[in-house]
Amino acid sequence: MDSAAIPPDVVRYIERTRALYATQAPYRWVENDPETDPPPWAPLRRPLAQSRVALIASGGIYRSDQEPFHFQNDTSHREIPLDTDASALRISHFGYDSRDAQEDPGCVFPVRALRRLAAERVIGGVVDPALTFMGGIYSARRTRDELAPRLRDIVLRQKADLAYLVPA
Amino acid sequence: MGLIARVIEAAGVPTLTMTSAWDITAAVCPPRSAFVHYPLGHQTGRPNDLDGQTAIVRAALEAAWRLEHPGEIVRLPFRWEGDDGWEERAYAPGLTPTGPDGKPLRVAR
Repeated sequence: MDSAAIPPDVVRYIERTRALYATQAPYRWVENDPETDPPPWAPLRRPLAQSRVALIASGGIYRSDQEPFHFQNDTSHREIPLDTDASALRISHFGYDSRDAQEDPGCVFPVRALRRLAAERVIGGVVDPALTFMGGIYSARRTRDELAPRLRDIVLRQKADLAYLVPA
Repeated sequence: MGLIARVIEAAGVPTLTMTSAWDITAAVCPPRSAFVHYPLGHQTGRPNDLDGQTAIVRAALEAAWRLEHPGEIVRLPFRWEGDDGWEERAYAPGLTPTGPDGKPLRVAR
């Protein structure tokens, strides 16, 4: 598949991360061979205009009245009601330059854009609340065993038609 | 994030994963991905630009309906304007990135 070929102009983050943190234990992304371990596939159920979209963002967003994320294998999540004012959102994350996202969380947490698309009937709706976590988790096992099933169960309860996942 | 996508998709809920890091996403291999060639921390757009953010989110969601192959990454047609050379500074504070030949990295544009 063409996706396997990395375009020549994109940033090679895995190489740069290894160079940048050469003196520390390496952050390892999970690797899945598309041939031997292809991703699961669930067909889209209905047109976009009728689909309720669940937002899950890993940029470390939380509400000012919630506990911040800490920086060591924090597999907790936060539920962010859609009507939360952007001024009440905070970010704690060590793995990316979050200055612009601090100024406008919409850079990595596009609730306002999704609500606008719902108002314009481009999408069927936005699932309330949105879900957030802090993506810099070094333990793939804990991500797989603790965080992912918890988020999965919430999305199933929310009866979302599509989960829209936004990393940072 | 791709790991989360795979777990949710395996439960029967379709997923679309946003990405600005093609190599990481290709390694983790979530079911469907939409790539935006922006610096990390801007996967759904620039600050204080709701029109631009909405355009990216809309293009990504619409692209999900065109993806037919598990693991596919679709490239969205957005360019990070006004900051030429951001790719060479990205994720490299105080670092001069070098290519495999040891020379400073030059990014084709």
